[in-house]
Amino acid sequence: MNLKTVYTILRKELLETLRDKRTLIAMIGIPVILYPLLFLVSTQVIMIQQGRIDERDSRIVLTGKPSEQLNQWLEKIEKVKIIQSENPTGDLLAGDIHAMVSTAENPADILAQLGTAEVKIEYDSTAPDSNKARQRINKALKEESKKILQTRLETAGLKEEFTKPLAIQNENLAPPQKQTGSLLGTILPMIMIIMLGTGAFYPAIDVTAGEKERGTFETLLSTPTAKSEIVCGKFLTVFILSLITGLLSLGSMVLCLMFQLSQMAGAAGDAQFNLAAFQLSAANILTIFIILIPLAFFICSVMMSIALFARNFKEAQNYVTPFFMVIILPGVAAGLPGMELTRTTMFIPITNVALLFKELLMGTASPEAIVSVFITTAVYAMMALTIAVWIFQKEDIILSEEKGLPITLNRSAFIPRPTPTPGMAIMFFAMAFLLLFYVGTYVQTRNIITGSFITQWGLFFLPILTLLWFTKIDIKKTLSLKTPRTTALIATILMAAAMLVLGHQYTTWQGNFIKPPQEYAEMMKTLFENTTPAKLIVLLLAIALSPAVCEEVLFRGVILSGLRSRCSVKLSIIATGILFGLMHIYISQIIPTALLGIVITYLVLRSGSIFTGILFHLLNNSIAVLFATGYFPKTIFTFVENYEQTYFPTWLTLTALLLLTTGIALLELTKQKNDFPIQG
Amino acid sequence: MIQVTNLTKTFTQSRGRTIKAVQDATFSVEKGEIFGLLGPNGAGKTTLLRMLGTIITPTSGQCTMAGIRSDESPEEVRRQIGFLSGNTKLYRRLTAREVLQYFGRLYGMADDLIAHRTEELADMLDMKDFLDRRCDSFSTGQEQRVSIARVILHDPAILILDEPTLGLDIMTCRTILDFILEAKKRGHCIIFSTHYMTEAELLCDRIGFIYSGRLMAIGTQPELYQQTQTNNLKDAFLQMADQDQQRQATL
Repeated sequence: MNLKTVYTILRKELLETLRDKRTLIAMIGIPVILYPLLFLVSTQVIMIQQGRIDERDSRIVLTGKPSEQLNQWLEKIEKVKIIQSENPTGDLLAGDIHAMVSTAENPADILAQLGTAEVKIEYDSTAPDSNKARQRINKALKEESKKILQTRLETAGLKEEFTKPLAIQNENLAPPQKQTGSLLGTILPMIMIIMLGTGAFYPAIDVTAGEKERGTFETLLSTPTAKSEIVCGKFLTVFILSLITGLLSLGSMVLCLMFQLSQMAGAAGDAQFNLAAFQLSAANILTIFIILIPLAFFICSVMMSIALFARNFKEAQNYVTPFFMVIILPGVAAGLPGMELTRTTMFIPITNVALLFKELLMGTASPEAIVSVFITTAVYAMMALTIAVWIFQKEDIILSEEKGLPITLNRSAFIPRPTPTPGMAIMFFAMAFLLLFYVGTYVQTRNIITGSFITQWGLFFLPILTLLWFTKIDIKKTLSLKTPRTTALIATILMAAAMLVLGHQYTTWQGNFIKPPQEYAEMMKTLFENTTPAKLIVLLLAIALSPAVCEEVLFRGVILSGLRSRCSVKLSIIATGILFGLMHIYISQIIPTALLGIVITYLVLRSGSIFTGILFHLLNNSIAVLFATGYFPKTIFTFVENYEQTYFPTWLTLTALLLLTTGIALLELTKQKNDFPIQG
Repeated sequence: MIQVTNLTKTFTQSRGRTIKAVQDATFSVEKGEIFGLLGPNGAGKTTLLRMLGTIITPTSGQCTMAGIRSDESPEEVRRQIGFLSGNTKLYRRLTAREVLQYFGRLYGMADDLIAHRTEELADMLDMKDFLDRRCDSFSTGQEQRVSIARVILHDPAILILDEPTLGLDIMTCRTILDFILEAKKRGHCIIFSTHYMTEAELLCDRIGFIYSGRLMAIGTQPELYQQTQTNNLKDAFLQMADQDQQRQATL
């Protein structure tokens, strides 16, 4: 991919989109002008209206039995006028009078007998003036009631406490930031999703279906530009515009909301919205911004993919609008009380971001949650973009003039190829990742051993081989199924031994900053407790052999060969390693496994055979299992047991480094020309 | 310059039915030659030219453009050709100059070279007056002239022109036809399609008749007249089309 070409396309698309009024209105007009205007105007109107009602007199009518006492009470109330009416009910509903007050008996008689006098207020709840009248009468009569009670208590020689056996106090201990954050957290995420969507909406359609409609697509396709360059250029345009809209509206929303809440707080004299105590730290704002990036990425690429199917602007609007509504729903759901980030909600696209947003505003988000949401959202985003590139390769969709949705999943439509493309590699990763989290974690919580078998063979191995077969990809070549040389096998053993020591040193050091979660440590402990020799064999099969085969097929097979078909050796090694690390979602595991992944990837590329990777993986995991179960021959390494939480001695580290270098040297010295087997 | 061997394109319709838009096309075009592709609407002209332009991939068969195989490096092939069809319009919100600059950059040209070429072509195609106006204000003739400038901006060896004179007034038509003859003189290899027989008679060194996806005949004008015992392209084409229909009916 030529970045200069991508930049040329991006620049032109931006110029062209910015010359379109629709985009400008959606991008700048709505967040910067319309929203503040709506907020301020509505707040002002409410306040003015409220003030007017306060100023007006309440006109009331006394109905039922005439009562001197009631008359007296009512006459004393400020801004209440007693008037006469022929048809009080009609007048009330017409809004000419505001309330009717009546009693069944004469209150004075009942009060004399220490009874309860009933006073009825009839009003119209839909008329603001009538509500005000009710409030005024209620307040005054309650005062009267209190006075009468006072007199009665004094007469009986009782204290006021007599009527209040219990005094209940409610105290809200939630910090003000949490209270305000919870309130903002229900509204802001949804608005952000809507605004990112609004910002992406017109550009996404304009650069795809719009270009088709204007008949310039074929002009662009006739230039020496790769499809991926076109998609990237166009996608970046949509992405930038969406992010700008998102940020503009975030700023404008927060300002408006702060302003409105402070006015409401002032008006109600209520301490519920304590904005002075509400602070977003710079780190929080940065996190919100960082999370917005994959979210915008996801929304933009899905919108673009959908719009690509349409032949013209109008049709694209019809396709994209439902998607827009669909993405608002998870945002709304996240605002519901009781919804929070759990192992399940963490993987629901859009919802997870909305929930994280809420937790960040409340100040309760954990680093685990931030990283997990970021990774999952990034995975979804990459998947959506890969789909966009794939759709772009389909000439019948890009050039469709009269057909509708010409996608077929006929096996015959696939062209046989030696290895997957990088896009396919990422799709394979995304698929495995999602299966692992939706199905894998579920089966593993039920039973970790059978769960591990199901995950490795059922979720990784089988789907991958099926897909490779279905898309007519050369399995032997993709998976590097080649007998390794003896030197490569020796190098594998040396390097695996070295990495066990170095890995331990690294994890010990990392333990200073990141502790593995408690639940994980406990799960491992119960798993390895009381291991009989029979159980040991099962454990080795489930935790050592299965991952060694299945994860290697996924990472050092499909993903590596896919990346390698386009990327340089270095990039392929590092990217495969990082993806391998990301698959182990616990933060404490990501970096060590990524490092391990990089070494294994290098080994497989150099040896040209996946079997070296499988052997390495098998040695690594089996020895870990042997240690954890206590089956490791203690006579050889008695000292090891003392090093559970501390570093190995320096001489061991140095030996490990020596072994690693020897392994690398062996590989480099005996490498053959075709060792980097997979070429595009 | 252009070598086409057994080029075939099949489109899959709904319910698995297939349509052979182009069948087994084999021909070649040399440097400095104008090759005309003649046929009615729907004959497969556009599909064939789109395959040559690597806009779509052939179902089977091969084409080599300027010595480069289309299936191996389509991007390199596109660098060698200028492609014009009814579907290659201009960006309406950009000015003619901006359009040329954009495409020049996509062809990897340096900015000063693009500027220089733009002035040169503005002179040649008489576009000075509207060079800095937005394309949405252009008449069909002005638009076509900018399109022609876009096609030859990077001085490609091969020009693929799909019905370049369709819907144009006679003045612009003349500009385009003059341009094609001029390009031939400069040694470009040109393949163009039309259904105006007179245009083909005037311009083409060799002609290919295409009908329901098949190239029925290829030859110079005298060769085609002799083959069909006629004295103009229209009659020659109609006779071949009738024969072809009969042949298909008997099969």
